[in-house]
Amino acid sequence: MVAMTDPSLGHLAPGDHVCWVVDDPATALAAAAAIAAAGAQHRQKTLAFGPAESPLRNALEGKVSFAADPWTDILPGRRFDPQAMYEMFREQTAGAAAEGYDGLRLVADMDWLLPGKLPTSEVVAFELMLDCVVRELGATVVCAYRRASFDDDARAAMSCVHPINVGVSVDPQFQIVAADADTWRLTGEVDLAVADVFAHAISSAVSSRACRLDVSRLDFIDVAGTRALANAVSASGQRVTVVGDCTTLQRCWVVLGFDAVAPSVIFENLRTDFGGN
Amino acid sequence: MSSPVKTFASEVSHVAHFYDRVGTHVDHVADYLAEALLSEAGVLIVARSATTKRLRSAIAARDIDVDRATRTGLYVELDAEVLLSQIEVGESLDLEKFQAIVRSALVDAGRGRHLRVYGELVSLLWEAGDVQGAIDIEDCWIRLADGLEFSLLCGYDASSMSSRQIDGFHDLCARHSGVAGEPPAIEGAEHGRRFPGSSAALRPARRFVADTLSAWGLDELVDDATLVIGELATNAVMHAQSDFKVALTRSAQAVRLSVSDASQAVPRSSQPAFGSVGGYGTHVVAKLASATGHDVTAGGKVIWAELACPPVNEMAV
Repeated sequence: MVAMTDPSLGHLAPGDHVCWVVDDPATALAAAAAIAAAGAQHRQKTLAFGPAESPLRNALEGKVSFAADPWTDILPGRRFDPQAMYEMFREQTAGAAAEGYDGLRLVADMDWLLPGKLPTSEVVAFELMLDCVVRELGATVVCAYRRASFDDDARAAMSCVHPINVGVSVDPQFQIVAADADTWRLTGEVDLAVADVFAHAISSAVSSRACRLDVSRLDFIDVAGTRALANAVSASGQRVTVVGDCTTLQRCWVVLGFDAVAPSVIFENLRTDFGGN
Repeated sequence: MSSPVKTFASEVSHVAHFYDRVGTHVDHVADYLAEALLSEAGVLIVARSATTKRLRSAIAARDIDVDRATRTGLYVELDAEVLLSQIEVGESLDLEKFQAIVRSALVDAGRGRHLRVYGELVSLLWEAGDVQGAIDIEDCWIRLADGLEFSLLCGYDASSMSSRQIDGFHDLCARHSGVAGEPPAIEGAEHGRRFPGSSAALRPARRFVADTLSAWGLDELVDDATLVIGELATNAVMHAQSDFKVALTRSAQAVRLSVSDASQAVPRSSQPAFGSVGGYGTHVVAKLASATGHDVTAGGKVIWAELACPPVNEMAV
């Protein structure tokens, strides 16, 4: 994880996906303007999302090429549809390319999600797949989560599924992000404290297609986390290849016999020669 | 690794810090005292002269005007060797006199504010073989804390401790609300720490186990130990729903990991079927450990698991 302390966030590059915790939108306006302005350096077409009354969006209107409230302007029937959002990004990217741009740069006031009253699990799943899209399209996306609108648990969950976090009070205990088109990278430590978020995130990550799960920087996972992985893969029916070494994951997997009951999980290098009983 | 003393001192008021590297120890203590001085709190140092000199330099290196703090009464030093000579009466210690001298110094340095104290008189006694004297002085500090507000950090040279002092070591640790640093690798010595009954405490509990095992030269046990303690502590948080204590005890053959909590209900251990709700954690512990067990106590229970390890090193025997 890249922890950025530069308040202007002016040095973001294509492919960066940021969770930006904002205390007061008014004080974040200068930073938001700097983020948008830096798009010119990377030949990116700039967009601003947020509710019509969002100070962040209003401050950027006129400074960006396109401003909208996804809930009212993009999503059909004002119904949360992540696939519609991903398709919109692809269409906007293609349109930007036709206009001579190299990609998109978006600053989003995530208050646009509030009308949907979505559970945190749905937003986690949305952001996780958005991370793939951001990487695929080489876009720069900054998701501004206001403290006043999203509680501690929701913000903590969002920080786990963004590669870059700014303004968070505590670094996320674990992260799962898109490493490449076929690979999710899981880092940090998974235990009871983050069990729910991890379960939602891993389910979303392995549900759509066969993939690789890089655990080389996963420092610890407990029994419950290992079960969540096994359950998610079993439910998805997809094949998951685990790459990299995480001793606690391997230990749990072998001791619990999951290599026999979840055969669609393939470890590139599964050790079975552990000690103990 | 960040200073264990500084991190701990904000949470508890009477900490024993075991060290075997003087330089690192002085740095940690300097951090602890400098933090107080920066917030205009007072400090009292009861240490041998070599330590007080090193601490003065180390605190000054943290951009604190130690001379000014001394002039304004915020920085007070007592020479531990001189103090010891003042309270020694034949083979005994005049504990009343110790309390009177130290109380006066505490009042001078405190002046109604919170105070941080570093003391190594106890280590002097321990190094001289007077284990009971060290424990008596610790009890004096506890009595002084009844009437005065201060945080106390006691520095102990771990290299001076041996397995012959194991009972004293347990009594010593029991008189502290926390233990930090590198515990002496004494066979039979228990090294423990309390944690709040929250899932947020699980990672620090694992870190405590990993750091202790590393300090004991048992890195090869860290992965299994963190899994074991993770499951035992998770059970304490989820089922006992109480604060818990994690402890490690080393013998020649094994390290015993234990978790104590406030519930007398003992978890079942059986092989769970895939898809069943519970039982996985205790099953994994049973599989990783060379022995497991539990003891029901008046206040709750202790669940323990042992991991086989290489022989204890020569220092500890």
